[in-house]
Amino acid sequence: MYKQSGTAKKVLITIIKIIVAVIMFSPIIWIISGGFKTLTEFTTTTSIIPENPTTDAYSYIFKYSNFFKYFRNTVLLILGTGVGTLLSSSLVAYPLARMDFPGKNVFFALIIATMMVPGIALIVPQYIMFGKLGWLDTLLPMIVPAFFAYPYNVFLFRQFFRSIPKELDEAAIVDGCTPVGVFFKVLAPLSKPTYATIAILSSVFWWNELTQPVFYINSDKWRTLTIALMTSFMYIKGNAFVINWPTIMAASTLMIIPPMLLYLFGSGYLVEGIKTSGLKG
Amino acid sequence: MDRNKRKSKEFKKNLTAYGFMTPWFIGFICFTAFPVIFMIYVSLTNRKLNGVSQFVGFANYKNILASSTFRNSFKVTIFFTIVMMIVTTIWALLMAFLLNYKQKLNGIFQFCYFIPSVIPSVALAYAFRTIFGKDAGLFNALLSGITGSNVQVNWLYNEHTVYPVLFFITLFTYNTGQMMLVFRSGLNDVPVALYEAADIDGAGFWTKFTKITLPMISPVILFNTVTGSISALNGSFALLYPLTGDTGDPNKMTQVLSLLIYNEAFSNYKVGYGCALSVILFLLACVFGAVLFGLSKKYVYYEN
Repeated sequence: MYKQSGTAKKVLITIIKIIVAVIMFSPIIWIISGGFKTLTEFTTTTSIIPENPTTDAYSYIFKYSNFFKYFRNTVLLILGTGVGTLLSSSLVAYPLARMDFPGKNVFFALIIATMMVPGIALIVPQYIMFGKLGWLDTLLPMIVPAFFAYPYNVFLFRQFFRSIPKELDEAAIVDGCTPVGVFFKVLAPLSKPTYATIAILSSVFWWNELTQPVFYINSDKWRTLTIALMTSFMYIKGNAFVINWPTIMAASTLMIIPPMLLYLFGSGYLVEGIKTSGLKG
Repeated sequence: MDRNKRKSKEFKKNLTAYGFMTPWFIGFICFTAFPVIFMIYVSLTNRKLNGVSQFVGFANYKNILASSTFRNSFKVTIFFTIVMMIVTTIWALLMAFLLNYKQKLNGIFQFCYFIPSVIPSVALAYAFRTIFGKDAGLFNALLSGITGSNVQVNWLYNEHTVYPVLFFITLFTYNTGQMMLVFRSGLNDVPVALYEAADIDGAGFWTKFTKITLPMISPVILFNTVTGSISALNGSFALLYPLTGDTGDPNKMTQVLSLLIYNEAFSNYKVGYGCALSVILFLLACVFGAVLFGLSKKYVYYEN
């Protein structure tokens, strides 16, 4: 289909490509430009290049808001959930990919079934549960479940493990390796790219996650960047009635940078990972 | 090997398997099975946010079925999920097509097409709240420039414009980006020989698209649309809550079930009622899930 290439067709496709690129990228340009405007300019003009560029919004964020605390909280959330899910999900995936045992098919079906349950449907009972445990207003309601295997990541690990030739396990067993040893000495070391991929997917998810922090976190202490955008950066000190758009846009810019860098420098893991999880999950 | 020995070896192997599975057993019981049962129980009480609760039987469900707010929200959820699924699939397919047309600078194009799907949805929501805002909104300025008149529409708060704008915004979600990548590899897998044969027969672009491309990638499309509907059920909260609020402005037109649950449980403190709504959302997800499972059995797990 792409073989015959009239110049007209080529030009037409290039034009469409550019239009789509402008549409897709315009909100990002809008966000970046908004961060350098004053509130008055933001609410009265629509210029893409600010007339009087100012870094006031950034000064406010770094000097007067708890930006570094929110950043630390978000990083802790990413590290906690990442370590948890990598450990637990890969352990659980191993017998599902490699062993035969009674109940395997039932367990696997249950894992697939729970993948289909949207988290939002169970969040109210979990809220009550975590409240009884005294975990509300901390990161625990999000980090602790990660240590008990997310079905989605179990499924991804299982698929990846199955793509490793079984002969390697058998050879290791002949050499006197136990099934436990096979996991730690053969499968896990061979799956380093898989661990990296799932770590990146999980980090992107938690960096962007809004829903669970909105339900579980109330006070400033454990606020993540996403909720701070809806609270601390929205209404700045001394002016609690006017939405401070430039601060929101400046903070958004700061939050867009890490995913962009990840794309530019780890695009193999990011793009391939998202593609594979879409194909298999 | 004698029988007992083999049996004990088998037993040991099973024990190892269950050992590895333990984190999931605990997780499934504590974070899925128990919350489901607990949710059903709480849905039969009039529990308030402060924990005061009394058994009321099916009263919540009766109220839900009689509530016009719920009926509206249920309709909005189904409508939002299905239309979002269709719109994002077509857009993802279009972007995949464009990117698979090999040209210089394709890397830059993919960067522009893909980046919106991996940035926080709340940042996007605020960008669009101002782009489609009435005063100093980029879109109004653009239309004013084109038409020469002063366009002053509050796109997200106008009953006639809110849906088109909303579905436009869903083009920037994670799901669209993911589908685009999946379609790119799906399109690459279509054998070139088929197109060459069609060229010899003198088939045009549209014929090739409907007779070769679509049938060849239909399993991928089908699978993605249904997965997309599940993530639409789940992900709509993170997009709509910062965009139109838990009251679903304008006039509850965007109040999907997840927003209604949040609104009832946390703004009206009616946790029991919120749980009953959650049960309904859960059942709705089960219906979608059953469809997905049926389809994926047919198309995706086939290889195993």
